[in-house]
Amino acid sequence: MRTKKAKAAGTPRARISRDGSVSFELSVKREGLEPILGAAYLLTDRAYASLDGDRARLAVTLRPKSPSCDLKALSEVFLRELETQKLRWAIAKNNLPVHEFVAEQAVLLANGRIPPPSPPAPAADDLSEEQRREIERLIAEVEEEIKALNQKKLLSDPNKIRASWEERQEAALGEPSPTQEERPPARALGGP
Amino acid sequence: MSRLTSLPPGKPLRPGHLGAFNFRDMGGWHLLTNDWGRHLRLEAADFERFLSGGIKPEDPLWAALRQGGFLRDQMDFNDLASSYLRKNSFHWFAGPSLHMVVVTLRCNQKCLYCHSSVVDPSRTDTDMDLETAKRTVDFIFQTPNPTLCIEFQGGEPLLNWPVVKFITRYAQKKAEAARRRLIVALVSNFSLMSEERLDFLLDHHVSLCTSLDGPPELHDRNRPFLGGGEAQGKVVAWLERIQRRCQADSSRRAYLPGALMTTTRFSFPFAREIVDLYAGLGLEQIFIRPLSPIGYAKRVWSEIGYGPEEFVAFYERTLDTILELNRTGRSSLMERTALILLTKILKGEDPGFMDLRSPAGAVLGCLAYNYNGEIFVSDEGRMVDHEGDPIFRVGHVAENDWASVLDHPTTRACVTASVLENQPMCSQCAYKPYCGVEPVFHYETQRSVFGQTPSSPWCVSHMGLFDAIFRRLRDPGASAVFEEWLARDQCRWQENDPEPAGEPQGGGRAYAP
Repeated sequence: MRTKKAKAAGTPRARISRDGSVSFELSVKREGLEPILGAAYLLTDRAYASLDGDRARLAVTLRPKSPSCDLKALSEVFLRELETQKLRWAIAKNNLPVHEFVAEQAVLLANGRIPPPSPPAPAADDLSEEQRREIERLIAEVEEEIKALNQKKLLSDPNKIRASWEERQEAALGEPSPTQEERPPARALGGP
Repeated sequence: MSRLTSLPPGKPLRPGHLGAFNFRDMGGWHLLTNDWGRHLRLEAADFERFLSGGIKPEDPLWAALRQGGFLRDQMDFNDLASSYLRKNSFHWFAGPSLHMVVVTLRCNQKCLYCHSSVVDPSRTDTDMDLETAKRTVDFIFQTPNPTLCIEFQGGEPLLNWPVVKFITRYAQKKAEAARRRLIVALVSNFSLMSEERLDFLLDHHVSLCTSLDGPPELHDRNRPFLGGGEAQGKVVAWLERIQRRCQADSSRRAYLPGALMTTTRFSFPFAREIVDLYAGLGLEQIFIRPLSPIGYAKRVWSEIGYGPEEFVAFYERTLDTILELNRTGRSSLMERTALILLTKILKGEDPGFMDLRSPAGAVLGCLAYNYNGEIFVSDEGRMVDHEGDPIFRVGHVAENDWASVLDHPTTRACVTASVLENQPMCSQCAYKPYCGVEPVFHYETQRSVFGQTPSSPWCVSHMGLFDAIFRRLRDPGASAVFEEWLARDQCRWQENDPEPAGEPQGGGRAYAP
């Protein structure tokens, strides 16, 4: 039975069945779809997880792979994983733009499109107005470039990944500076 | 809790200020990592303060969190992008650098675990012919990486010596003409080595590597000769002989032979003896490798195999023995797995190890060529083919070009399956910046190139290895030894070549001629 305390705190209820499974009725809005799926997936090393429901409510049923599994303990583990998943997904979602931006910067660095960083770089809260404007301009520029690249990429092979060695060499003959592929990798990356 | 570990219940959380990171409860302390390759160790109380926004600018931990990119509004984007780039340098290597050429399936040994799909020495029909050898080299030179490493594998490659010689010479001529960097490596049991052959190999700067599983009672059990005889004695004798030849000539010191061991169930009682043997032979490194339940080894798994937890326990015991020898100055032996992980963790660099990449090395980092010209995503993929399943075949040297191999649906599937962002558990793992998954392994063990990470033996063993290294990094004594290993390893590359690229899978060392 769900305790009054648990009910007040909004903890999802575990229902232990006689058939040897434990299930949870979960609000997708409250718990989040990804955390529910994530918590269920993580426990597939010890239980078969089945899901049923719709966009509003999901029923998760865990059926242990071992007959000696303690169902109460399993339900506690699931709930703890669910809470942890919420944090993991919150962090991931909050930082998605940062992630994408850093990856884009790395690609531009690799292609020599922007110079490598010159340490020490100023921390975000030490930036002058001019520096902030410069960063905003840079971000806008990168976004434009990415947009343009995305439009082209389905039809072209801008990095010549599919090109053979000979094709690359022929292409390089017309270029004033060595291509990325001709330079030793570590030097191209700025070394350690 | 799951293997990812979970949060302590009921603690206040303030995720808004947190940068992108994954964490792991290490028992009393937490490990924090992020995709840019930074890591930080926090005591349990500090971790809780961090999650609740309790660490302020005046706190001593603030600077470390900020420097590592763990604070969302305190990030140095250029610095992080630079780290990310260095850590994933292989993304910018254009095409595969490691090319494993199986010149024959024949072998004069019948190793218990041999997953290399060998056949009897009389089966000369499984030798690569010269025409196929030439086409294989031509195909390799189509691939666009400026550095190429050709690694001879088998079977026992020395059983098809003429083709080994031909490929070495032909590839070196092509490399010279195309001004490309070429590394040639041979993985052999050395039993068919001769002075004449050794002269050729040393004169042509071929890196040499062999298998040495431990003392005779272990090695000869794991790797018996067909028809009997002492296998270990021959390996040790040739290792010593080659060492002497290399040490006598300063230009050949970079080509000191390497050895690698494969762990079977029978290895477990011999941790100390194995280490003593390697240290006694003066070998620079030992590579403690697990058995893979792929190909033939899968069939005999119940006899010689073990659980991933058992391997990790053996690894830790052996590593501690090596660390103790280093601490007490009795040996300077380094352990290769630790070096690979430490290079990633402490130096933020990619050591060129195909299995621990995202995406995996399959096609993008390496290709395997069978004796008959068939091309596979990796040598493990070839072994699966030998067991009757051609799923990892991506072409033929006589029929396909590089572009078609890269475009092959199997290539795409392997790449997609081994990008850690596509793996629900891996994407949240603290070891994500340093780890990788292997599609062929998962296909063989879980019947899916994606695998199911929570129950994957690959994941259990790799998490265990990372746990072992990170726990020892907290120990000042072990940490000092690790730092010294990294410095020595770096010197080795600097002396011989500044950029390792595509370390031979067999564990041999890739040096430029």
